Amino acid sequence: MTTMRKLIEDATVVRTKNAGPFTLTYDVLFVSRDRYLAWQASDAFRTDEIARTLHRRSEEVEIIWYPPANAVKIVVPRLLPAGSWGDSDIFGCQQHAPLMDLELTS
Amino acid sequence: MHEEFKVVSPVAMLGYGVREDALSAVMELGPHAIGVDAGSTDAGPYKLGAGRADVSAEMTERDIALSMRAAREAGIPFIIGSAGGSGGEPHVRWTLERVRNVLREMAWQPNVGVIWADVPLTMIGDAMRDGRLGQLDEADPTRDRLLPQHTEVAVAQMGYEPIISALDEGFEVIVAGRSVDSAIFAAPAIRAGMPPEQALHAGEIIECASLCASPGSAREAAVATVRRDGFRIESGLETRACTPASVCAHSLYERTNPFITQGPGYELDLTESKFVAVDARAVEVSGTRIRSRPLTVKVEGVRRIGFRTIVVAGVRDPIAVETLGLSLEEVLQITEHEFESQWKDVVSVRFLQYGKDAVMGPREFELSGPNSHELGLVIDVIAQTEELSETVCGFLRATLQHFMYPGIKATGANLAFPFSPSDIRCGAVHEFTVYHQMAVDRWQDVFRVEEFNMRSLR
Repeated sequence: MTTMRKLIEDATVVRTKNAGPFTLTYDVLFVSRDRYLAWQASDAFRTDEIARTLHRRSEEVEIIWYPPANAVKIVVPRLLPAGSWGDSDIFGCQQHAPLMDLELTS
Repeated sequence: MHEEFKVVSPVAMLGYGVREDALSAVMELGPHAIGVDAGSTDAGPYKLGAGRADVSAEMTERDIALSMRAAREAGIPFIIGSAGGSGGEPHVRWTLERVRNVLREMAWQPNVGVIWADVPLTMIGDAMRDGRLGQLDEADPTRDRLLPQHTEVAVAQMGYEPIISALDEGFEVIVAGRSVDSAIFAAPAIRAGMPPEQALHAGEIIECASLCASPGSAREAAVATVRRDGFRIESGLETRACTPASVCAHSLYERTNPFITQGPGYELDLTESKFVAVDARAVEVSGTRIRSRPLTVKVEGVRRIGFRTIVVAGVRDPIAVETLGLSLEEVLQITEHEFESQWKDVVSVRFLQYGKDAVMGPREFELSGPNSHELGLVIDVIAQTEELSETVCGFLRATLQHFMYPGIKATGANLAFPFSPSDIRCGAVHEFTVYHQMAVDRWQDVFRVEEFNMRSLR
């Protein structure tokens, strides 16, 4: 039987924030090492899948797994530099919603 | 010779409001220095361009008073880094005025040191010409917009060396311009003989005070006890625990890479760092390594691009909500036609429709979601002069207010304004022009340490 889990069910933290004014980082902290490993092994975090979810080109997306915190970081360039004209989220802190709906099939 | 060196971070950002009980608790541990970070570029170019902080003078003085009194009682140095939000000359002076006011109340006359971090524009030009100005990330398309040659004001981030130099001069209170966050806390520990990799990594973790604890707090003090072979992190109050998970999680926060950090003349490597719980509320960290790199300093610079006026309004009429996008397009055309001769001086006109992709813009993924029954509208106009931005914004607002969109039934007016007056002047608007690494021979080429005479302030 296949079960479907959404990322938000397996994460204690899902957030975005600027890392300097030119870079946006998505952080996901998983509830356990077990869930971290399950997501790490899944297709959901393939670079091309993440790029599709975030409406980015694959070349713009860097994914870094961080075992000490059972976490994964996704780094992308900001659409516009923080606080420049046209920016709609100066701290980049409300851009994470697409990740919450990622699905893991097992 | 110190066996260990304790450094306190009282608050994540000077002016956020130090929790006095948490600071008192860490002072009980007998720290050797207090550092505090006062700046960031994450909020954009405004602070540097306008020469202003984004925290209030009153809260800043309150935080300085609590921290500086604690430092004086303990007989230890007090260091403010990235003073005044951006660490440029007006920000440093503004901070020195806050310090002066607190010192008057304390009736204390310590030796005050200042470290200037301003970068002369000629230095940027020279560095460009000599090929010493390098992009931080060549692959990043947003950085193509950077135009270093148009910079109007710039600072550089100092590492720990200038702060050590100021401590060597015997200054009891140090107000430093733009600084690498971790250097503010690492400098006194390195000066006391602790290895830079331990001190810098500890500084990275406590620079946001107890945000590295669980639950995190930006207003409660944290303390790092740095030794030769590692360091310990703990928070002030019983209600906060620094755990391996909370401290590791903070290694991710506002960073592009949790394993590697670049600093002036070094690269910190956390790949082998171990985080171990000492007890329920403290963490030991060891295994952090450092590699030396050619000396570069990060230069941040901005220019003014114009002045902004905004209008905030709500739209509730269902037909108006349905047609708002088209109405805005038409109103913009009418405005552009009306101001044809001056349109070259209009830098940008933007409509943000809250309830309709205003936050994520073209990256919004909820494309088939239900339509909102109301929309929040922000009209944002930037023009070369304050007058033109106000005039154009006012014209847009008045035209939209009485715009006869197709199918209109509500002929009263179209916009629900929450404020009177409806049009809000936001002042100058800036953009980053330089955010590069600049190669230098020695830190003294950029940063200047000197004694500050408090009487020289107005």
